[in-house]
Amino acid sequence: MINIRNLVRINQQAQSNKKTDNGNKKLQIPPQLLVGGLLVLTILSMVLWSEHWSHFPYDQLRVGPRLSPPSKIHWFGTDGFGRDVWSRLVIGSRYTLGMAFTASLISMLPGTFLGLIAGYRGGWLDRILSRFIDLLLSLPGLLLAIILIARLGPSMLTTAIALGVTGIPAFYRVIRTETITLSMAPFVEASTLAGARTFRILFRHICPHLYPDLIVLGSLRIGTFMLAGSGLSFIGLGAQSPTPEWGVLLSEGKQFMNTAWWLWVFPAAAIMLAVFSFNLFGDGLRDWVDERSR
Amino acid sequence: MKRIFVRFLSGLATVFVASFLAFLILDYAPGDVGDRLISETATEAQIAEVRDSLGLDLAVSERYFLYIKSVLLNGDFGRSLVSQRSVATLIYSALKYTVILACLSTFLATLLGITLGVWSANSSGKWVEPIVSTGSMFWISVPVYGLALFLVQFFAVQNHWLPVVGGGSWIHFILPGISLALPFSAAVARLTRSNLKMILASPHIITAKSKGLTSHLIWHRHIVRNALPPVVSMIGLRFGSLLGGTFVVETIFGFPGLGRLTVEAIFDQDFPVVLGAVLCAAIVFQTINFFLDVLHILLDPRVEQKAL
Repeated sequence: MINIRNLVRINQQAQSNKKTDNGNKKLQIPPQLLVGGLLVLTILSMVLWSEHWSHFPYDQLRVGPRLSPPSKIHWFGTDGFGRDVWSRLVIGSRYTLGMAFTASLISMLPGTFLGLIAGYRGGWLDRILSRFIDLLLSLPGLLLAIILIARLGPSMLTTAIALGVTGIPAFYRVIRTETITLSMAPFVEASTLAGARTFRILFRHICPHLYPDLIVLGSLRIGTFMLAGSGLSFIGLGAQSPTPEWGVLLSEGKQFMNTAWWLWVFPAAAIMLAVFSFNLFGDGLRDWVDERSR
Repeated sequence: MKRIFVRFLSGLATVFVASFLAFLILDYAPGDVGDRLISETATEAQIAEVRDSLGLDLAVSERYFLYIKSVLLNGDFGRSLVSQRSVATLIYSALKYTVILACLSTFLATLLGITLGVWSANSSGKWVEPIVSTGSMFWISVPVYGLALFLVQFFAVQNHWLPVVGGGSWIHFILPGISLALPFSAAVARLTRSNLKMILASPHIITAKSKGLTSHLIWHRHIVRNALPPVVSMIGLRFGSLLGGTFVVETIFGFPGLGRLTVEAIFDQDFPVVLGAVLCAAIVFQTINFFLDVLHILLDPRVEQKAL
């Protein structure tokens, strides 16, 4: 009797386990997203509380001996002026990330707004806007950013603006397509019938459905913009020398390539890790969102 | 056919509008050039003469019209403000290097990317999936300039196997080619893989398998034809932007290509050169875009029925 009872219980348990397993699967966060999210959070905390992460004032000369290799006091060594590389990297995250965030916002806001209008209204407005956006894509890669920088003169803000402009089409296209699909949904029809204004329909009813797309696109864009922004700073078309932006640090480190490896390896690794984190996060989020909407 | 013609015309129009846009953005404040070209002791009359010869007193649209006319009729892009050499010569000599570099790295990236993509889509071990997806993500995140520095350090500075800077012979193409190709190939591999995975799981492949087609035939007829178009257009677009000049890599390696020409011209405020390089890149890019679209129609007959 006991045996049978046990069997039944085990069976029930197994079944209920199965159920929770299935139930969990929908909510379970994939490891990629989890790792990416944690990394992104770490980086963000570095940006927000740089002072607590760094050990020395980033711009103070001679906090240690010149060009000393990594040690317990100076984790990432010191540079040619005796400044602490770790502290410079930590503070530099503000500039690199800040540039990438600004650029993302600059491409996200107009891209989303125009995409919403074009997708919802359609017709001639859509055609004109889409042609205009195609125009932004007529110059390959960074070329548009480069001529904007050429005109405005290299600085961190200019680079962010220039990069942001090149990112507008990506947001526009995704948002426009999504809006076209969404504007045919019954709930939009219902609120139109209820007499809601276009503005209200767009921002109260359609926009919330676009948030996942915006977050995914945004975080992937931040990765791209970090690469491009530090690259431009590296060749001198972005942030300028005393600023501890990562691309600038890398180009400063280049001068000591033979003697002090820590001056260029750590900035390069920082850029790579940060870009990797945002890409991992964005990609994981995209898969997760796709999975859930299925 | 008609579609292709329309596409050609719209590409042409885009080049013109893009060139006007670039002209407008780069349109220098008139005072600067006059000051830069002549010495400080120049009289008013001399300044006026230089300004007149450059046509600086005309309206933007008129200057643009004159510029385009001389480009179209004589292939004359003007002269560099710094070296006084003809922009067309500068661009021509730079373009040669950039074209070879772009072809080389695209070839490498395609070979490596497609091989890795196909292999990883086909292998079904427990560890293949996370390793491949994280690994390719990692390579996409590598900054080319960091990679380039590493390659220079390892191959040129420490071991003296390859030269660091310059563009004289074929050896100079190896390091820039590799630094451009590796992140590029990771992107190709990712796209190939996700595409193949989707197609391999789709009903028409299951049908083909269950009706007993050989795997060679399935690949040839059903998989490659469906998987190819997005990969081809992605490779083509990246190739196009490589041809526009790879600013960072060319600058690091002191490579005499279009990218470095542009960057140096920006530092010198040498706008005729920047404008010429931009125009050239736009033309090349649009041409490639055009051929890609034609190729897309040929590869995927469904496209022609849709709006292009």
